[in-house]
Amino acid sequence: MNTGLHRLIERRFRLVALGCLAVLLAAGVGVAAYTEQAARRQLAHEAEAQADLLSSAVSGALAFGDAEAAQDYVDAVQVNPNVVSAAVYDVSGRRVAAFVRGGEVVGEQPPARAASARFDAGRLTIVRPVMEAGQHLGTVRLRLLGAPREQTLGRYAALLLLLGLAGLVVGVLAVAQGALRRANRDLAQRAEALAEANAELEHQMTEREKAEEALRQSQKMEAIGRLTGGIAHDFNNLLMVASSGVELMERTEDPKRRQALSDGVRQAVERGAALTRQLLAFSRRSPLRTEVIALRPRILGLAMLLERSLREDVEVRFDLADDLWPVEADPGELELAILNLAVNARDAMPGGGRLDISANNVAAQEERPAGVALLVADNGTGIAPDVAARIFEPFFTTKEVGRGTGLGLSQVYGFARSSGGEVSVRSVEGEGAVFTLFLPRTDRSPDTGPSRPVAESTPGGGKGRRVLLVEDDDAVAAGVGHMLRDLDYVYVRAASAAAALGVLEGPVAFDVVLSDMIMPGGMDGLGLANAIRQRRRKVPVLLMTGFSEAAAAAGASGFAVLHKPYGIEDLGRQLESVLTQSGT
Amino acid sequence: MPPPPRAFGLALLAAAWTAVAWHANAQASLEYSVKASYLVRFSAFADWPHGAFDGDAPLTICVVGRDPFGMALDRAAATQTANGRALSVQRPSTSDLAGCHIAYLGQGAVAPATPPRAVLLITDEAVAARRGAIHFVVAQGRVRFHIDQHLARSADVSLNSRLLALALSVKGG
Repeated sequence: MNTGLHRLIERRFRLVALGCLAVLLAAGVGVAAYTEQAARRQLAHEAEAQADLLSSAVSGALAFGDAEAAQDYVDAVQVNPNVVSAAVYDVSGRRVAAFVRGGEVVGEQPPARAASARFDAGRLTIVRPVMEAGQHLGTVRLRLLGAPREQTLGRYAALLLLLGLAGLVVGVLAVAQGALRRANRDLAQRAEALAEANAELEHQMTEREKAEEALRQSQKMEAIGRLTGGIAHDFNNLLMVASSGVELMERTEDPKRRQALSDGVRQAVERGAALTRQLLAFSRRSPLRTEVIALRPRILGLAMLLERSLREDVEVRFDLADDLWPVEADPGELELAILNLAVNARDAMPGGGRLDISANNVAAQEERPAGVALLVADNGTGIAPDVAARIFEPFFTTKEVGRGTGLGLSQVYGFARSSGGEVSVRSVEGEGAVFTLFLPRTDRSPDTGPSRPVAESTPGGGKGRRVLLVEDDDAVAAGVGHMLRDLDYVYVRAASAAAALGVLEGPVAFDVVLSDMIMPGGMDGLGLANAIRQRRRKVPVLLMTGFSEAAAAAGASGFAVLHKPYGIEDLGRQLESVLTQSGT
Repeated sequence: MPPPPRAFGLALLAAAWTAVAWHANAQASLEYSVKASYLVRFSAFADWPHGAFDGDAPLTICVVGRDPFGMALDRAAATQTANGRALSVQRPSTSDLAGCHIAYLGQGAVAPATPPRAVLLITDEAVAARRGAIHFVVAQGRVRFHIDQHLARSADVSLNSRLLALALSVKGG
């Protein structure tokens, strides 16, 4: 609630409370005045009746001068404690009989003959003529207490009590209202604190999500780092094949031999390209997202990476059933888990050995649902029982400092749990270990990626069309330039996005822009593509990159992407596709 | 020559007598003044039967026989009324009480054999021992009275209880 309303209610409450008190006070005073008046009237009435009685009684005594009898009557009046004095005067004004209470006075002077009742100085004075059959015989004067003290006190006490009670009620209400207000304030404060705590919690959850993502990424990078040795070795071999092939080609003129050598070089380059593509895809930073996975192709897709990254003295064998059930998991995490298990096995076989990766369906057993068991077995050193109990703990490692972080197997464990499965290890020391990763089956069928329409490629279909090539690396630019020429395109090279924009502003018109994505300078390939799209809508743009993230960003913006490294056929096909789509 | 002692003594005696007589006279005069006032007051403390008055006729106080009050009675009656009636004082020459409402029997008056109706008969110890409905006496230096209710009732006159309360005695209460 806003404070203004609060204040209004508060003020109104005070007003109402004060008003109530004022009304009560006024009513109290009114009632007091009224009761006082009524009491006076009642008193006067009673006193007058008494005076009438006395005047009537003493008439005879006055008529016949019997002072004693008159005194008797006057004395009888004393019974009333409120009467402070009484006197009887004869017709000539002489006082015949009287009585006076202590401290009171009785008038010596005879009163006027007329009947009267008068309050004066707290006394009620009643004067009554004594008449008999019309004869005036004398006068009676009676004085009474104006208001009997006890009665007045009683009346006022009751009134005071009433007012006190009313005040008390108002006070209690005020206190209760105050307490209510305080309680409301406390409640509001608590709600605020709760909201703050909630916000803090949400913040922490976000932070934790970020940290978890960073952890996953670092786990991936760590795994890659551990593979680097093997991969570098493999690349070395490929480069060896390529360089020796090129060298040999230069030495021979025999077309057959040159063809054989160039085939060998191309194969080596293709293998290297496939390897880097897999590494890049693997290292891609992607959100955790489960999807339905067909295990067999997914594991076989990892085969080359595994074969190449493990040492040559490690033999990798796959034994995957053809009818494996689909499972639901994050594919990146699955690959990382397999990679971690493989690397772990490699490290357990310092002297070389055999790595068996097998998978088979497992029917439901007791509490465990049906699923797929993925086994990674090695014939290495095995794991001691006390170590086996701890290998899935984070940061637990038996390796020397600098060789492992101890996060590999904990990733496997975390992946298994988050996928609704489990992981276990069976090992005999000296005979190797078998890790079993169990994943529950899913009823859904695996996603088949959207089939990309592929344009018919016609190598050499450039027909002399103009290409603006934007590439900062001279070697790459030269290579791509050769390919463009071979495809019958005419090209102009720009070394940066800014230069490309300058060329585009010039007189020469281009049919297509082929740009690298990652470039130095203020603007990258995507920025350039966007700028072109804004300025010259008609020029289509084909972006090229080896970074999967950059490719994803370009795809999201609606640009065609050529993945590096690519061959002349890929280039021709993609250029044709882009040109066809833009209608030129 | 000095006056003869005997003559002086006589003169002294005469003077003393005169003084005593004056005093007695003064006392008697006060006594009858009170009685006159009482006669007037009785009119206020008594009720007469229907038909005792003709219309607005005044209430008549009769003094029968020798009148001891003189003008005192006339003065007392002149200023008063009784139940709205004026008071008149009559001094009938005979003992006929017709027309009287209050009748004082003075010296020489003949009391009627039977109490006359509607007449409050008042007698005086100082005149005769025989009592009427109200009988004046002097007791302890004050004028008081006895009441005979029998006589009052037989005369069909009712007396106020406050009057009865002041009587020295009430006969036939």
